[in-house]
Amino acid sequence: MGTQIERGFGARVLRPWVAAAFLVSPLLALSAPDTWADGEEGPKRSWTILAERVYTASGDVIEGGWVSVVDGKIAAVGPAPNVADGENVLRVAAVTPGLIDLSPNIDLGFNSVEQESEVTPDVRVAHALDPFSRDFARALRSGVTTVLCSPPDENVIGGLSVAVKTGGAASIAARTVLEDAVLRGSFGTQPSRRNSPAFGRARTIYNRRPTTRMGVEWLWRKSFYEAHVARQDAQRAFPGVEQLHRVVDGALPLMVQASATQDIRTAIFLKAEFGIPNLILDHAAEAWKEPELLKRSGASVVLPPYAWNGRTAVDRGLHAWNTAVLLEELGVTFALSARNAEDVDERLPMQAAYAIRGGLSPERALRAVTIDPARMIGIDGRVGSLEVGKDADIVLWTGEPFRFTSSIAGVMLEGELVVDPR
Amino acid sequence: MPIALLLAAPSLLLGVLATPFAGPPPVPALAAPGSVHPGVGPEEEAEQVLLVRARRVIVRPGTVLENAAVLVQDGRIAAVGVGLEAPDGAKVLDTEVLCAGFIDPWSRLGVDPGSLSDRTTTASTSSVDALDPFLHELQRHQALRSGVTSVRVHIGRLGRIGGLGAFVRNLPESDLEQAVLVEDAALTTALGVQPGQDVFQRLEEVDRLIVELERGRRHREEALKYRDDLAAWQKAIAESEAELEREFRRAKRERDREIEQAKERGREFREKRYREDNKPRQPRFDPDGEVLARVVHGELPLIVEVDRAQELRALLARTEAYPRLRLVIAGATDARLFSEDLARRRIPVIVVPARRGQTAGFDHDELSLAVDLAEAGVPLLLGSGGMDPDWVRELPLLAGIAVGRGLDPDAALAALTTLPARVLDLGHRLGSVERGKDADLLLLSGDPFAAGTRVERVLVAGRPVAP
Amino acid sequence: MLSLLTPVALFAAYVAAPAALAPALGGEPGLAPQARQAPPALVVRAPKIHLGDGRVVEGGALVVSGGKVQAVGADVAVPQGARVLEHDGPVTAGFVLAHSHLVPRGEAFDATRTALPEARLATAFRASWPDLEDALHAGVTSVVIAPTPQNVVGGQAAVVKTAGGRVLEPASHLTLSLSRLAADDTRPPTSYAGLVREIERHLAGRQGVFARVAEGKLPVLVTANDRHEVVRAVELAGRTGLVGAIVGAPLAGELLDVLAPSKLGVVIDAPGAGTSQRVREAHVALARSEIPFALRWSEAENLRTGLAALLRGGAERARLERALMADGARLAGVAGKVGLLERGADADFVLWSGDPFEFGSRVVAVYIDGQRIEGDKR
Repeated sequence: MGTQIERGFGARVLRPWVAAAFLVSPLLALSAPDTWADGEEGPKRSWTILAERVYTASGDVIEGGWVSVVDGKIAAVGPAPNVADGENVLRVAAVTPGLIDLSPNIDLGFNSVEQESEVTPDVRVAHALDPFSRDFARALRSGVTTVLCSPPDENVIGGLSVAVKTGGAASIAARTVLEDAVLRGSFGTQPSRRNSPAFGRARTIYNRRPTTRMGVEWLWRKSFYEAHVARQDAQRAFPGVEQLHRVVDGALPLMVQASATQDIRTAIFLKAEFGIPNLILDHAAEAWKEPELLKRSGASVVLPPYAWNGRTAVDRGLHAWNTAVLLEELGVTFALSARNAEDVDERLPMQAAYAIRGGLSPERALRAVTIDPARMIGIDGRVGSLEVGKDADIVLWTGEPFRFTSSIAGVMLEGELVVDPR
Repeated sequence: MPIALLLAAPSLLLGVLATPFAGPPPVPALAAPGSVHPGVGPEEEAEQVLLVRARRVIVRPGTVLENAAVLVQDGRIAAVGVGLEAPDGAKVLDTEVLCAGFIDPWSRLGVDPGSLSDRTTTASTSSVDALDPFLHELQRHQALRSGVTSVRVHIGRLGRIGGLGAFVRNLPESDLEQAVLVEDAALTTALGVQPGQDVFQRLEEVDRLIVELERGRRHREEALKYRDDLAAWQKAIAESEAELEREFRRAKRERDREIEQAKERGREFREKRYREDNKPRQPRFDPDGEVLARVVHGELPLIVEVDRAQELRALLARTEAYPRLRLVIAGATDARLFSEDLARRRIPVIVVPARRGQTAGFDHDELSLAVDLAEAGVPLLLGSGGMDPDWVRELPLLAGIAVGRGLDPDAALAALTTLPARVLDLGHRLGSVERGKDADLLLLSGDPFAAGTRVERVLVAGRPVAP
Repeated sequence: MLSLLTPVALFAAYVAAPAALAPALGGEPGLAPQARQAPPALVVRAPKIHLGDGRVVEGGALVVSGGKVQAVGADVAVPQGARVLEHDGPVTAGFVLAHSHLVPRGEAFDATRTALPEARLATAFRASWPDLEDALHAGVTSVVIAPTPQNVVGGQAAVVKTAGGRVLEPASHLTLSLSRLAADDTRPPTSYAGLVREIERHLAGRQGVFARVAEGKLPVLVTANDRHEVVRAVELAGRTGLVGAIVGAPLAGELLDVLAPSKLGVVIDAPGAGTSQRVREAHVALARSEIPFALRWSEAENLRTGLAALLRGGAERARLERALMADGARLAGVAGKVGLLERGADADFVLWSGDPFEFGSRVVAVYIDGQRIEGDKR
């Protein structure tokens, strides 16, 4: 099927020409108006995209399909009607939904970590992001249109993550897809490695604890225990207790960094002990080590980027090439992530390509960077697939997606062509 | 040198070609009086004829023509006057005030920090070799928009002696060949600028400079002596040869007899030796000595960056022995103490308003210094200081503030136009709006130093380049 | 001049020391001792009177009595017995700068706590502080004194006169900081999220001064420098209903779309010599927009160079006049009292030797509450 595409239009997108017969079909008038709402100034947000293959991520692949975009929303998806070329008509080899990265590692460094305490469930990282950051622009260029920004893992419970679009208005609030999407925390050495030593001098006036994995685990359990106690006794409430209650009630997913297998175990035991319904294990490189435990737990997984030396950046977790396949066989929900790699060959589309190379089916790889992460944090009502009514976040490809021989020709964010293929 | 040659070749060619194309407009002869032009680079673009009409044309500081116009052709000013008519096909621009482009006599546009602080430079090191046409592109553009059309740059600030500073046009494109006007605009050096020096080390630097000047003097003396000796020798050879020619037969007879006699006495014959056989030896080739010689004899200006009173005093005292030396002081924070001496000897001073005082904090000492020196009659130049390329664009603004502090506006204008052009030997090409000069012109919305004046258009060599 | 200032300064120091007394002084008009002696009316005639909002009265007169402007216009009646002063240069309203730290060194920052909502800078005001005199000689008659931005809640700013020692408004704003300076890692909060959380907690708690801030009755001055800090400040204000101005924001001019829908003004540093071209262009863009902006105090020379640079960059003169006077007063929260020469306003005005924006122009004299202070002799 790939060869068929490459024989077709390839990287070329036909230059628009003035269509003599504009109204070829009545559908077209609806889908590609030459003026948009109220003649408002601004970028064009209505398009007709014709693709040899439309990868919807939620249903079957549509051969010779189209996506009609009106005012930044998807108005129609299906087999392409007969459409004449025009100013608003794009012809490409393939389209997929905009990609979603749940672990993009975009923040403002230490200015995004509230060091006042190690447990800060009520801190919103949405208030510590830079909409002008190049990290967003870089993600957008590589096809990632939605990211889940989390506080850096320097606290045990860092705070509330926010799902945002990677482009658009100069405001995080305006770009937000879902605020308070998950509560983010961390296991492993990350939250303890830079803290005050038991001996020697502290670096700051904080005597930050914990300094070991044991301490990290203890703080997790202490926090949830105290939240449990506070349910009975309002006097014992503390800042952030409300968020912990929502986690236990299943209203808020808990996303934790757990790379090494011992941290994955700890997280899973915590889930069982306090009855946390929705647990997402981020950066879970060693998820393959104890598959049955993982499967029984019902937790979902975000895999770290593939590393050339087989070890992850955080906690040196052993990351096998076929982890994704294994999780697929187990039936565990998972997503891929790129942690905002600077190198082109480590960004999210390439992570999907590596997973395919590790044995994952291309369909599943596509879902692992689109609809599956969207469902994991509950934003699949707006993004994650090409369905009528969803945001027009679309990646235009020169060939079959996630092949080493294809590349991204264009990126559309809410109907705006942020990377123009023409 | 190669650049100058390259520049000269096309301009000569074009000069020949230009005549038939000159066409109907009454174009006066463009050759500058008396001197040879090394060529104006961008003729090929500047064929367009421009007529700039202005409410006020500031011909030179103090000379203003009301409701006048300037005709620009082939990158030069073809005519200046009241009631000039636009020739056919000429583009007409209108403006409030027209004046010559500003010159920054001390800048570092296009010079990287490494070259600037090079310690290994010698007198013959050429700054042009360090010019990076892609460096400071943005700053150059900003400078142009603020009206600074040309700058002098130099390298080797920390060296024992700096090297040859170049005079560069502020062209927006990075075309070095068109941009470099003079490769050897001045010899530059700095005294007492290295951190941590005590007063004796600083004075020692003055000694070293004098040693270098002596070397230049000696070099020229030797060169002259060689020239004289060579001439004498050639003359003697010629005389002897003439004599030999005249008395050839007798001489041959005598020589034959001597050979005979030598044979009879059983001795070896020896040729007679002449005084003229000893050709004078050419002095060893010394490029540095050559440059220094030119400096000592006033063929090149010597720009010395010096701030403190001790070095200034020593420098002024010891350079008095070189009557032809064209000394220029740059920086000169403590120059107030010597303003009489500087005025008497007509030593120009490049004041850097951006410096804001070396020792004191932010008290704008340099701005008042400019005022005081100008009042004392010292030829005043204003420069951006050669340290930060960002400051070039602020030069006109700072000159305005100096005017606000009491500097005569004409003196301020002279400090940015006519004086630097003259000091750097470009008075015949730049600095004023006069016939035959290069058309580096500013079209302003008002008086050059009024607070709200906008630079509406900048012409460099007759080409509109900014904004 | 000193003899004139001393009694006023002493009086002010006496009143300003206990903060509780300050409102009485600031609130009621004409309480300055000189004003009470009610000297005869003063009429200033000048070829140009710049009122402060961009309007200029040609060949008019300004009538002052009791420390207040009685009338201003082209044809105003000269009261009986009035002293008439003919000035041959322009007259402007006194400049009002909407932010400064013009208090003795060390008084604008308290490191003991990160939120000092009830601290009043008015108590740190020293009328004889020499930097105030620099401001005065630059034509500034009223200035907001505010704490430095290292604390997330710095305290309450005040509006003071640069001479005469009068505190015009003892609690003009609450100052907040969303600057990186307030989020250093030596004291909590250490993150932007922490700063926002701290401010929102206080606003939700409505304790003390925050009750008035949350209702929009007391404006805020929020320090925000980087672009994302400015956006954060605008969003915070949008969520919580803050009114007032953003202070700093060198690139505010690049964020006009973000700022325009908000109720916040901007207080910028005058772009003195050496300011980057990008910042200057942003300032010009701001000056061309309709977003209210004012200037803050950094240096006398910067104010003048900055104005010239903005003019050269293409800003309108009238708009800059408004920023210096009427909008300055508006953002300082003292509109109607100063910043505009109209009937009933304080008689704060400046006699200039020439065009006030011109480099060579000198302040001939400054009048504050009708009292004359001679200009700088330099």
